[in-house]
Amino acid sequence: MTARGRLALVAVLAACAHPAAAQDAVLRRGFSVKITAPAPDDFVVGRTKIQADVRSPSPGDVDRVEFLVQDKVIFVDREPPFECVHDFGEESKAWVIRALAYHREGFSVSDVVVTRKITVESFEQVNRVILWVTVTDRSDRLVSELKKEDFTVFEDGARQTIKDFMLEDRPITMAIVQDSSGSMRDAMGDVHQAAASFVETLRPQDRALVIDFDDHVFLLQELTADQALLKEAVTSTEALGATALYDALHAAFRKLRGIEGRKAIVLLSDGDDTSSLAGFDRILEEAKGQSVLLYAIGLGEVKKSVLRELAETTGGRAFFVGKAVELGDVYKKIAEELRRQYYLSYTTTNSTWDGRFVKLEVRANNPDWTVRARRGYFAVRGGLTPGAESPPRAR
Amino acid sequence: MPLRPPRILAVAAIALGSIPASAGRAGDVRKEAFKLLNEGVAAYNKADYRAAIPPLQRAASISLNSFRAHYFLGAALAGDRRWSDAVQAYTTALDLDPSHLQANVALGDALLALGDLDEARPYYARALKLRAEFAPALDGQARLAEAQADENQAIALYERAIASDRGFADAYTHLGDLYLRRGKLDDAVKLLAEAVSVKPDFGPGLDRLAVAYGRLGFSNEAVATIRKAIDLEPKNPEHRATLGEVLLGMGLATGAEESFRAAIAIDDAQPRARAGLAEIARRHGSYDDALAELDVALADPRLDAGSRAKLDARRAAIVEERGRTGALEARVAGAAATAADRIALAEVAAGRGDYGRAADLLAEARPGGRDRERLAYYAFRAGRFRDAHQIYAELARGGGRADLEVNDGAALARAGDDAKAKEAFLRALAVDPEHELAKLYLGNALLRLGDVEGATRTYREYLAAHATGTSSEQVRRILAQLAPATETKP
Repeated sequence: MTARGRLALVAVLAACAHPAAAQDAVLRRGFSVKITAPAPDDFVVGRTKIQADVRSPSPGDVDRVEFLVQDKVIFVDREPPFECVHDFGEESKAWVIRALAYHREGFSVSDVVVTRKITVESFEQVNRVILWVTVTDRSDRLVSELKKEDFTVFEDGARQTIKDFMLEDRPITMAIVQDSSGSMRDAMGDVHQAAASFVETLRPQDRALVIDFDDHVFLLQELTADQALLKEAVTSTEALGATALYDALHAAFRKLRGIEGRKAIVLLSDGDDTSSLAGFDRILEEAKGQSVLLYAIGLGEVKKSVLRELAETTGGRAFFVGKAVELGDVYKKIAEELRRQYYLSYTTTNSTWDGRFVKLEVRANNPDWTVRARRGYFAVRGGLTPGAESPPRAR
Repeated sequence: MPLRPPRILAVAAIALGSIPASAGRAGDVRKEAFKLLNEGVAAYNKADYRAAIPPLQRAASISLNSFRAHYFLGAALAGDRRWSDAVQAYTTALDLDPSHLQANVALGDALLALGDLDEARPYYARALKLRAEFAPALDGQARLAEAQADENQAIALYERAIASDRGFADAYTHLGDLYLRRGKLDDAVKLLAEAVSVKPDFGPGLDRLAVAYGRLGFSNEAVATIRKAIDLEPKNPEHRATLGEVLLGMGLATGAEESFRAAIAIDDAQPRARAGLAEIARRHGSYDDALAELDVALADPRLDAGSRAKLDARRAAIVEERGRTGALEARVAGAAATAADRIALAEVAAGRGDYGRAADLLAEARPGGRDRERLAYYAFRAGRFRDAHQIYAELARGGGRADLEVNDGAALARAGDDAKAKEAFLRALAVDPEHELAKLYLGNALLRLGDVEGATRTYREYLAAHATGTSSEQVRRILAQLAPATETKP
């Protein structure tokens, strides 16, 4: 291109400017707009209120506020409060929500919020909720001779009718997640021994994968029922580096996503997260959105509340031991629990698919029993029945 | 043409971390992950996407929280047009690092290629929230607007992308490509030339510049430019397909076919290469072969939405032409054909580049009026310049039509009779003194007759009236050769 041509091109390009791109308070004389709801990275489903806050030196400066979803105008508001309600449908999607505020002198400012798509498992079972339930007595012994009538299920306080019920004996898919950060060095011998013993408790039809993490997360063994391979993997780890606990859990949830049936993560860690890309909130959301039982073993000085919150959200459990030699007993306990869980399912009475977290509570008719099950599910259409298989025979 | 996914330099892969010296499986897995990532990134940086995919797939499957493994895997899959797989890999990469600008754009691009516009939109918007006026995101939004047939919005967004980052060659290329499709060839060449000026080794920019040169009739430049792109990215089938298209546009079917086949040797279902081979088959009248070529491309699950729409339209046109031609051929062979049948079949033959048969069929129809003029054109394109001259001369005798005189002159010139051609062009200019082609061709005829002074004067008159346009550049070059010391490009 000639110099003249280049200048002409630059001149053409310089002439263009997006009318509402800049939020420069000086240029816009203090006129600005901000979307206050929904918040960035929220997930929105169903009828949702969109609100915008318009700031202006004089109250009468605002001509109108246009609300756009996916670049299409959905509402024009001419007076405060600037808000509208839009039906985002029942499917979880990422949305681009824009508010365009016009000054009465003609110029405009804009704000954009991008919402997030929530990842929930979904299989083709309409409105069916499946739970795996563990019951223990006051002595922390597993209770395994119960009937359907011994349980009641509540969703946001509303009683549900249990449809299918059985003592679960079908295969389980498991992620064995092992911390190999530097601080685990002295415990490695006991860890290997305990984990290998745990692998031996798997039944031939069960499958497991092995994830090893320090500040990086590696898949040592893809899903297999071959105990020799699993034992080789769990006993090959070496202590080194920092602790990317959340990343490891994120990877485990991801690996189990899409697999039907009962699933569990068995995590061993000796410390708090120090180097993950993912944060606690994301992992907690993952734990809520997936139907995966999390069994967390904290070795030594760990932040108990973190592991407990994550595990109990899923219907799993957190264990804490002071010394590595105690790990064998804990793994044994987890193995027993996984073999003595109840499967129950029901058709939900919920009819509002607005993305909220629907709280679940399973009660037993004996006050001496403690019941553990996942705490709820996200009310997203198609995201209800993680883990669904063909309905079992009722017992 | 979809552009190559953005590159991240291979050095970035080093960030996977130090390799522990260890024995046993865990140590082996870590070493393998590191090695595979570097191997995959190296192949990716050479645009050898197919070679990059297996090591990156393996690296991503074992290095579970490696953003780079998943991101590069997505980029390599996108390079190989495996858009659905690319979406998965990019989604995992963004799970690991949601605020990565380029990954947001790349995921938007992959979704856009799948035709999922609503899914693509949030990723561009999120990138722009993370960094205002981020050129690749604006460029993505522009392509989104193009996909929605909102070209004016697309142009505005491309211009914003360029204004935001004058070194961002993709936006120049995409905007140039848009102008190319709109037929604004001069604007397209300016932008595409700027793309390869800001990034001299930018294969996609060179590719589209070659197409623009081809459309302008600058065949040598077109071929040289696309060959440069091939040298830079020998494993990229897009450039081989483009070379085929350029050669086909020049009427060099054999070379075009070779190039299309070279493209499908790299990527068996490369859509433009298959479309090119289909066109060559169609020109031979082998409609079934043409459809088979298109079907290979259409059966490819990687096919992006835009290419699918084009191929579907092309397929429908060929099926229609096959049916129409079959019926016409049967009537002509059975001697039951009307003059209208012969004229229609002549049109088909001409459309396939078989001007000899077109001229014969049309002559058999004993056409009058406009069809007789068309007969002259077919004869001309078939290389029967004397026949063409006779018809044009006869038609021109009616007087008052400069274009017929020009065509007559062109036929005479191609027949080697420049003296009579000159007279025809002068007659044309007598009718219309501003006739562009008459002046241009007169200059050419004078030059061939050895009248350099007359040719120079005529060319200058031509340039004075037509400073820009397809032929002006060529005239300037001729003038520069005639008087290199005095003629310079403004």
